[in-house]
Amino acid sequence: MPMTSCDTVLSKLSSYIEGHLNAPQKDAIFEHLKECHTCNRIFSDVTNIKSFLHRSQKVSTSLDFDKNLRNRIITDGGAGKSKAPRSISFGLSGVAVAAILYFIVSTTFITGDNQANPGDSKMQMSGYEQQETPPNANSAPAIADEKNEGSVESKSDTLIQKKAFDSERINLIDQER
Amino acid sequence: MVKVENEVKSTQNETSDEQLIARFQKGDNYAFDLLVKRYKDPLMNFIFRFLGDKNEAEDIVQETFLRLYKNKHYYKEIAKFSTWIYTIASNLAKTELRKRKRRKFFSIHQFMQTEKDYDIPDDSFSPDQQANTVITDKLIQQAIDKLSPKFKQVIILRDIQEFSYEEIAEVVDIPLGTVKSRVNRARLKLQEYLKDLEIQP
Repeated sequence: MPMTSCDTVLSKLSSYIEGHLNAPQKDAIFEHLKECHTCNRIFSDVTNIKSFLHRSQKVSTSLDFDKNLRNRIITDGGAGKSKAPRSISFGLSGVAVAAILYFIVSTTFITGDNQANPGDSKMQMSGYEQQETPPNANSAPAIADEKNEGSVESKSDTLIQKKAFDSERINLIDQER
Repeated sequence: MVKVENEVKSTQNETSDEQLIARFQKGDNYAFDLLVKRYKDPLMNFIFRFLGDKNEAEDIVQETFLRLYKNKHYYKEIAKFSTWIYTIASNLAKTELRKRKRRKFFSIHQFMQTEKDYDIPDDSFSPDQQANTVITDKLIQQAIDKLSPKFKQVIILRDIQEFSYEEIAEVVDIPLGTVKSRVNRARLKLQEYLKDLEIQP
């Protein structure tokens, strides 16, 4: 009978342990294990590890699992809820609409000086400023205080106004979604 | 006669998974509850062994059931339900492992402390320095954590979850021969990691 190499024995070890080999193969491996101390040790360890894993401690879910799952289903798993791709496209279209509106509004008021009726554009500009003033009136001093950055210059006021306006727009997009 | 017996069996809480999912697909949410009850702990055990972190594992198991709830109509009776749900859980766990690797690569962990730090493999695990130490559940989990995902997955399904080779082949979507080969190699690797410990049956 030809000698069975250690590599061959190890490659078939699981099949040997689980009884999936035919009789000649089983005998060849058995004979090898009788002679080879290293392979025999590996065979013994693998058998024991397998047995240990089989009896290993089982981990269970926490006591809150059912409640948390229910909450997740309520908030995220409602029947007919739109899937991610659809919501992304809807969000993108919302962004596009918002961007177009912003462009129209900004170009309308920025070019107000060149319009036929400067008075109206001035009123519009005032409306624009008025629209932006309330956030600034309250927020600029608060922000300045919070940041403790000394005097608030008019240029930073403008930047803060723009930020407040942008964040309002972001909320709108979310609402549109 | 057989049909009557089956109906009697159903009322005696021996409804098969396939029957439960069919009922759930028709709108019976109680069937979903029963499936959750049946599978939450086995899935938890599988995912925990795979990821090594209990919180993450529970999150993955919840996500698995959430996907089942939202996508129940995707199940067709071609495959066993258990195979289907384990496939979902397995894929989510593998995705989480990949995310973990990316997070580790770009980690700013050294600059800020977060409450939910992910588990970093214990580099102090050195079996050669622990000769004559009796093998414990913790040590064997550490050894499992050292395996690559493809070996981890099959060894957990085979030796802990007691799946057949055919079932593993379906879950992992690899040929039967590859499953057997990977299980064998995974066992040999575990033996290598744990060889200096006292492995008692």
